[in-house]
Amino acid sequence: MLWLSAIRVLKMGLKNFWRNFWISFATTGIMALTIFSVVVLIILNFIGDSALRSLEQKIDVSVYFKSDVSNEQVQPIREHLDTIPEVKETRYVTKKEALEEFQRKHSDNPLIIASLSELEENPLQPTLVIKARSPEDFSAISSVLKDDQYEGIIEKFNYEDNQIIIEKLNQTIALIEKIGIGVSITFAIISVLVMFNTIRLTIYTQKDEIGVMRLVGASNTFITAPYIIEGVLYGFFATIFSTVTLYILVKYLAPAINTFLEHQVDVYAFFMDHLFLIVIGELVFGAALGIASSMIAIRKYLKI
Amino acid sequence: MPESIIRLRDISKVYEEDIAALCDVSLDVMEKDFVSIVGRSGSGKTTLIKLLIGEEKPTAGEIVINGWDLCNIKSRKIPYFRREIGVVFQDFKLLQQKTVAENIAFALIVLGTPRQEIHKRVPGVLSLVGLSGKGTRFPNELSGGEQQRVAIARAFVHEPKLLLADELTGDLDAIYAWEIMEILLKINKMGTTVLIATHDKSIVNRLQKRVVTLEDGTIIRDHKKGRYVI
Repeated sequence: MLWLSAIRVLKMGLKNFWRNFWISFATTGIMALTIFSVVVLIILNFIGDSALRSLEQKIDVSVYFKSDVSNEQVQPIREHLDTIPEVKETRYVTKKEALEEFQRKHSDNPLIIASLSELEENPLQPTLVIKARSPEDFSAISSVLKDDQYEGIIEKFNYEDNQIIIEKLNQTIALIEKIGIGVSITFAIISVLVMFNTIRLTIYTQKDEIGVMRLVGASNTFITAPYIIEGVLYGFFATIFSTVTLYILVKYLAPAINTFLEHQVDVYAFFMDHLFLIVIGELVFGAALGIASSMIAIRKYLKI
Repeated sequence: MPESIIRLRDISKVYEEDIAALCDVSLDVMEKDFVSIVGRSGSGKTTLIKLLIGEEKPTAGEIVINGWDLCNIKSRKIPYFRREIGVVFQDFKLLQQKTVAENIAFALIVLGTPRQEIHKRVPGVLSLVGLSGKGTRFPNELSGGEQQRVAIARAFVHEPKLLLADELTGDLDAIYAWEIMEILLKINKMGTTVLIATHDKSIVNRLQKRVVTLEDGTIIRDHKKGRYVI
């Protein structure tokens, strides 16, 4: 009997959805827009995060020591840096290694190699490459390096240019996130209001049926469930709508975005890799909005 | 020995601004009884029906119907109580976009009755109310009397133990009204308790059944084989 009632309730919910097709269509559209904006926000977040991460991976502080500094003199600085929590790793490049690396890098440029061999001495300096855990940690590292005891052996260290880029990127990401969250919340509120109104309309057009249902002893669940299902259906169709639109957009825009980001990220691959998760997330989010709207309409107009 | 299916004890119903619709009403209706509640408009008949179907709660007193304590019933339990009764109103409350058969079937659908059972019961109850062959008509294609029969069929299709009717002959000509009463008598003979609220004098007098008279919210007369006397 429960199974039978469940099927009947499902049929009634579907009927409610199809009965006012154009209203349902518009409601689904608004809901799709909401879901779309949330997913776009997530994708933008991913792009921003990936760009930031790849930039963070690339940047490190290079400490150039004076040419006559020996490995033994560098060792205490390195040990000191290794003990502070902000430092992820340190890599020491000796004069010899620096030269080898330089030669390898420019092996296809005979002019540079030739001019290097003209020099009697290795012109390169020993370098300590420091990777921080996050861009904010560079100030802590720099304060260690500015310590008086190291003044005589450190020639220079550079990091500041990168920091500006990172800060700018961080700010941009935060701004996009803020705007995205604002837009998503606005759409969510609009779609709840629109859905609430649509379901209210359905309840209104069915007030006679609801009255008869009450009279003959239909359970509260039996009376309310079709409207909940109607709400879930908006979520379901909105998910299909927004996923298809997103797929088309990502497919055609991904090459341009990837090129713009110098192929640090692959938006299309990200979308396809996470398609299942995105769809499940959209369904849950859409159904939750639909159910919330139905519940508000039911509480207000069905007086159960 | 028949048991009491309706038990009212010192029921009062006071609406806002101290308008008392019912005052200290006590009444027992036995199983398989046929009772007419009579009285002028505003005497409290409709309020009494509303209390009996759990649509409203009394201000004071005790109502027990078929074992359900309606003063303390939880609202989510009311549907289960309603499944044990049948209700007919003066305005029929039929769904205009559904056929006669669909209107009756709708009552069974919402109760979770299997399709085969619905197909079996609907023609049976249509024949009981004299509407065999009219199952595919829409309510607006029927006369007032026929629509009222559909409403009775819908109220009786799940075979309740108690059938309540509020002014169900109010808008009908005398001849149609008596036909409706004959259906109720048939239902009563089948073992269902019937309680009607009416101010139709000729019907009440012809029925020769128990008559409870209400005036200004109180019972002023209760006769086993009564007449309509105001």
